[in-house]
Amino acid sequence: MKNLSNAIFVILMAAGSQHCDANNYEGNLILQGNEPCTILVLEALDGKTYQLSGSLSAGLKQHQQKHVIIRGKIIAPAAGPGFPAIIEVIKVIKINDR
Amino acid sequence: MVYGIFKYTFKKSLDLLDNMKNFSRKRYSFFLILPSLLIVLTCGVDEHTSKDWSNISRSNSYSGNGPAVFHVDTTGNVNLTYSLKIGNTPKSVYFIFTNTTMGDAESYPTVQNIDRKESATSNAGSSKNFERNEIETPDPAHNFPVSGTPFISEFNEKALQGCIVRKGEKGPKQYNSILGKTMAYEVGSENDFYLHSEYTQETDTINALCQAKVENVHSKSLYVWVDKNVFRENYVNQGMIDGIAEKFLREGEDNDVYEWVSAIFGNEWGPHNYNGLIAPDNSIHILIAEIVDSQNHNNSIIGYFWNKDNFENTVVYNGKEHPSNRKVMFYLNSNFVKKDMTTIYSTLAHELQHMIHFYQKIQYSYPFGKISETWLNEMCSVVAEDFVASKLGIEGPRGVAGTEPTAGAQGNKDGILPTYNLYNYESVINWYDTYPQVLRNYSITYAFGAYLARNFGGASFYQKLLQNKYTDYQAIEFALKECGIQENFSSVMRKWGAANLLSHLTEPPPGYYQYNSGNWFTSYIGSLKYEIGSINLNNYVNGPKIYTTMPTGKQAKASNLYYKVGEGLTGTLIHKIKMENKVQLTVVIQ
Repeated sequence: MKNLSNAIFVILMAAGSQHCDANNYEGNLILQGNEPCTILVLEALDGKTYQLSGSLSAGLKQHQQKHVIIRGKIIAPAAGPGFPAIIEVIKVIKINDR
Repeated sequence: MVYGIFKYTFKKSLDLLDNMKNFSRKRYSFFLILPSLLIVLTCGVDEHTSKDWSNISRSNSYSGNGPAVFHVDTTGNVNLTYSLKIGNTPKSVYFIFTNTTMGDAESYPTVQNIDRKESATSNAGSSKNFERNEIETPDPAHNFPVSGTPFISEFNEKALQGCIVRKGEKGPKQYNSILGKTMAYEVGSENDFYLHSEYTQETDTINALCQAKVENVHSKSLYVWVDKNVFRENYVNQGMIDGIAEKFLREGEDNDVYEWVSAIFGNEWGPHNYNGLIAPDNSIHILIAEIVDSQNHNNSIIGYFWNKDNFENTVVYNGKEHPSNRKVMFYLNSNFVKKDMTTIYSTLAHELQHMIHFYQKIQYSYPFGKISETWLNEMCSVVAEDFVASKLGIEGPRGVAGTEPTAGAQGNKDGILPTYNLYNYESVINWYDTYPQVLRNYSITYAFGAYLARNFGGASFYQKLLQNKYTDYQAIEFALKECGIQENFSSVMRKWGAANLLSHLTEPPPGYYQYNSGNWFTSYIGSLKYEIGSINLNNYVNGPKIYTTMPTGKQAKASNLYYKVGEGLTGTLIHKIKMENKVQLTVVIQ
C-alpha cells in the first residue's frame, strides 16, 4: 500500500512538473512574415513576441488580431529576427476581441 | 436556448439533492432553484442588452449635381436616426459600414427605412440581393497565380515552430559568407542548395549551376542558379535565364527591377548588428528549381523568399532541419519560368520586396528584430508589382495592359481585382494561407494597397511606409503623417470604401476617393518616374459586391460593407440604423 502510494505520488509529481515552468502570456495574436513562411505569434504586452506551437496553437490562427491569454512554456529560445522564442501552448485561457 | 439553460441547471440542482443524505429536500430546494432562476434572468437572448446604446440623430443635406460623400461620425453603440435630404433630382444612395477597429463587431448594423418622401424605385429589382451565406468561391478560371505559396494550414502552423539554431554547423559546400568579401561565381560553376519540399516535408539538397551573372551593377551582383535537373532546352533554357537576369539587374539607369523596387523600398541587405545573420556581400541569388506544393502540384507556387537563408546556421523546427543557404536569395518555380515569363518578371519585383521588407524592418526595429504582419508585407509586394508593371510593359495585378493608363475595357477577367470584388467585405488585416482564402487575401490587400498608392503619394508613400519601425497598420499611419496627410488608418478605411463606389468616375469628389483618373498616377523617387494605371472596379467581370439587404453575423475587423439604399431616390430619406461602436457610416450619393 505504501509502495502504491509512493508510486502514485511520483506519477502525480511527474505530471505536475511538466507545467512547473509554464507561465501565462497575454497579448495579441498576429500572423507575421511573408508567404509561405508565415508564423503565428503572440505579441506580448511588454513588446516581446513568441511563436506558438503545440496542438492547441493550431486552432488559434482563426483568432488572429485578437487579444489572448494563454498558458505555455518556452521550448526554444529566440533564434533571431523573424524567429522569436517558441511557446508550447498548454492552455488557452481567454480570447477577446481587441 | 434560455429554456435549455434553465432546464439544465434545475435538473442538476435536483440531482444534487438526490445525492445528499439526511437533508430536507424541501428546505434546501429553494437555494438550488434560485441560482437557476438567476441564470435564466441574466442570460439575455439579445447580446446588446448588457451594452449602453444611445439614441442619436444625424442629418445631411445634398446639393448640386455631382457625387457626394458624407462621413457620419458617431461614438459608442448607437441607435441612429439618419436623415438625408437629396432634393428633386433622382439619385442613387449607398451606405458604407466600416469596421474601423482591430476587433470584429458582434454584428453587422441593421438598417430600417422609416420614411421616404417622394421616393421612386428603391431596392426592388435594382441589384442582386447578396446574402452573407451566399459566399462564392473564386471561379477557377479566374484564379491567379500568386507569389509565395498557398501552403496548407497544417504546414504553416508547423512551419518555423520549434526553431532552434544549431551553432557551429557548416552550410552546403562553397560556404561563401566571408565577412567583408564577395564570393564571385563564374557562369557554369556549381553549388549545392537546400530546397524544401512541401510535399515530402523534407529538405533536399540540389545541385545547381550558375547560368547567368551580372556583376557590379548598382553596386550589386546577381547570380542566377538553375537546378541541373530542370536545365535543358525544352524546360528551363539559357534564353529564359538570360531574360530573368536582364530584367532583374542591368547596366544603365531606369531599366531593371532591382533599381525600380529598391529605389522605393530600400536596400535588400547590408550592415547589421544581429548575431547569427549572414554578413553583407552585395550579391543576390535567384535559384530556379521545381517547387511543389503539399499536393505535389508544381504549378501553384511561382516563387518565394524565405528569411531563413539570411541566417548563418541551420534552423530546426517541428523536428525537421531547415538549413540555411546563407545567401540573400529567393526562389523561382521552374514550371512558371518555362510557361509564363511575364508572371516571372512580375514575381521578381514581388520577391525582391519581401527580401527588402525583412531587412528594412529588422533594421528599423533594432534590437527587437520585428517583422511585419503578413497582410502588410504582402500588400507591399503586390503593389511593387503594380509599380513595375508599366515599366515592364506587363499587366500586373491590375489586369490591364502595362502600357494602358486608363482603367481598360469592361468585362475584364484578368488580374486579381475580380476576386476582390467578390470579397470586398472581408478584413484587410486578417490573413489565412489556405486555399482559396489566400487568393482572397491577396486580392483584398492589393485593392487596399492600390488605393493607398493612387491617393497618398505613390512611390514615396510606400518608401515611408516601409522605412520605419512599425510592422502593422501604424506603418500606414506613419507614412500618412510623413507625407503631411491628416488621416489615420480608420479614416483611410472609410475613404477607401467610398473610392470603391466611385471608381467609375475619373473626377470623384476631392478628399482621397480616387481609383480612376483616366490616366496614369505618377510619382517619383529622385529621377525615377513611376506610373500606375487607373482602376475602375466596375470594369471587371465581377463588379463590386453591394448588398441590398443587410447581412447577419459579425462584421470583420478593418472591413467595409457596401449597402445600396436605392436608386432614383428623391426628397428626404430617413433611416434607423443600429450600429456598434466599432462601425462607422459613410454615405455616398451619385
